[in-house]
Amino acid sequence: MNKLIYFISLPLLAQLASAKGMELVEDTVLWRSSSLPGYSLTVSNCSTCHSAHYAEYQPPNSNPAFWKAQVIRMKKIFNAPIPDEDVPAIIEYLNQTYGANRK
Amino acid sequence: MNSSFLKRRRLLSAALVGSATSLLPSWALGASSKVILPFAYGERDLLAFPEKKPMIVHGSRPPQLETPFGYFDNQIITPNDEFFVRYHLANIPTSIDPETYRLKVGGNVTKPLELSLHDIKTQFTSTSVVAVNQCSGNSRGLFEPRVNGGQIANGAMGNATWTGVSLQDILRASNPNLGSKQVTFNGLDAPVIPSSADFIKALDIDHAMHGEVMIAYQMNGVDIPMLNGYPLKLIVPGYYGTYWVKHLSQINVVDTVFNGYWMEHAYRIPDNDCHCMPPGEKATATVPINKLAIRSFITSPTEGSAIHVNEPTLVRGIAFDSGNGIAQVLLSQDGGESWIETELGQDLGRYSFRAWQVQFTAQHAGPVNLQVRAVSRTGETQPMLARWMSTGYMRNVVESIGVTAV
Repeated sequence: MNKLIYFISLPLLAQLASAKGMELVEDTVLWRSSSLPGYSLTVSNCSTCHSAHYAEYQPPNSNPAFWKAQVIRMKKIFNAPIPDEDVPAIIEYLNQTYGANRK
Repeated sequence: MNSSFLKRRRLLSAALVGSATSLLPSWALGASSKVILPFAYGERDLLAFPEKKPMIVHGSRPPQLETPFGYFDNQIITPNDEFFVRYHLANIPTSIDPETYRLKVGGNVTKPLELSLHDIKTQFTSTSVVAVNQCSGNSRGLFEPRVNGGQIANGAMGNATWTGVSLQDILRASNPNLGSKQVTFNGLDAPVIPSSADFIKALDIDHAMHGEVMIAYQMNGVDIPMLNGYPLKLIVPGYYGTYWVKHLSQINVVDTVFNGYWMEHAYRIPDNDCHCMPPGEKATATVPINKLAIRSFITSPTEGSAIHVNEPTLVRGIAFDSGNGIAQVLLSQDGGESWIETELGQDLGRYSFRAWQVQFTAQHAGPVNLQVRAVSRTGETQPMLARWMSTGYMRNVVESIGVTAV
C-alpha cells in the first residue's frame, strides 16, 4: 500500500511543484473620484482592462484632444465596449481630473 | 483588517503553485514608500511585486515597473529581482507549467514545429549573450516639452546574461519557404477583451535568421522571472525592448510585412536621420523603432550630493549602444567645452552595459555640473541637446548631474 501511494504521488507532486505561478496584483492607484457623470462611466468601462495609473501620471500639458484620442483608441483598437453616447462624458471627466487640471 | 492591508497582502503574496515555497523575500513585508521622479506629477509608489525588490510602479494592471536608478551603481549585470517590467495587456499568465508549455513555429514553413522546453534545451545548441534590454520609452518623462505615454525616468533598462538557443536554429528546423519576408512573435500575455489587438511583434526574416536573435530560457543563470517572460523570452540584442516578447509561445513565418497594430501603428519613429521632429510636430513618415541609441549615465556621485574640493572623487557609471561597442566614455565639467577620458571596465560583449570610471577633482568650491558622453567604435555619440519626438522614444541626450564641491 505504501508503495502504491509512493508511485502515484511522486509524479503528481513533481508536476504540481514544477508549475510556476504568481498572484495578480490589485490596482494600487484608483480613479480619482468626481461628481462628474464621466467618473462612474470611466470606472465601469476603463477598469475592465487596466488600472488608473496611466491617466494619473500623464503630464500637465495633456489636452482634450489627447484624452479623446485615447478613448477612441480604446474603442477602435482594443474594442472596448464603450457606448458612443458615453464617450463625451468620459473625455470630460479625464480632462477635468487629470493632466492640466490634476489637483 | 482594513482594505489597504488586504490589498498590500495580496500584492505581496506570491507562491509557487502546488508548493508552500514562498517567493517573498523577507524585506518585502516592510511599509510601502514613495519616490519622486524629476518631473511634474512624478510621485510614484515603490512596491515589491512577485520575484521583485521594491520597484517604481508605473502601473499595476498590467504591471509596469521601473528600476530605481540607484540599483545601477557599481554593477553591470542587473539582478533579476531588479529588472524592469513592461506589459501592454492585462491578461497576463499567472501559472505556467513547464512540462506542458509548448512553443509553436508555423506559418510559411515546410515543417511546423511544436517544441517542449525539454526539446528546446536538448535538441538545440545552447548559447549565451550579455545584452541590454531597454524600453523604447525609457526616460519619456524627461522629454521637454512633455509627451504623453508612460511617464518613466531612466530606469526602464537592464543588462543580463541571456541563455537559450539561437532563433536561427529553430527557424532552420522549421524550414521557412523561399520568399518569406518577416517572422512574427506572440507570447502568452493577451488582451482582456479577446478581440483587442494582441501584442505581436515582427522582425525581418534576414534579422531573424542572423544568428544573434535568441530564444532565452535563462536570465542570469536561472529561470526567467514570471514578470520578465518565463519560461521563454525573445532576445533581440541591440534592439529596443518592444521586440523582446515575453512568454514566447507562437512564432509565425510570413510572406508579407506584418501589419499588426503594435508594428504598423505603435512603436514608430520619425523616418529621418535624427529620428526626431521639431517639438510639437508629429511625424508623418515613420518606421518601426529598431536599434538602441547610444547612452551613458553617471551612477555615482548622485544628483545633489556633495564632493570634496581639491580631493579626487571617483565618478562612475555605465554606457551602452546597439552593439558596435563602446570605444570611449568622456566626462565634462564645463558644459562640454572640454572632455576627459574615463577608464572603461570589463568588456562583457558589445551588447552589454560597459562600466566606466574616472577620478575627478573639483578645483573650486561651488556647484559642478558633470556631463557624460559615450562614443561607439563606429563614432556614434550622444547629442548635447535632447532630440524630440511626440511618442517619447529613444532619448539619448548627454546626461548631466549637479553636485556641490565643498
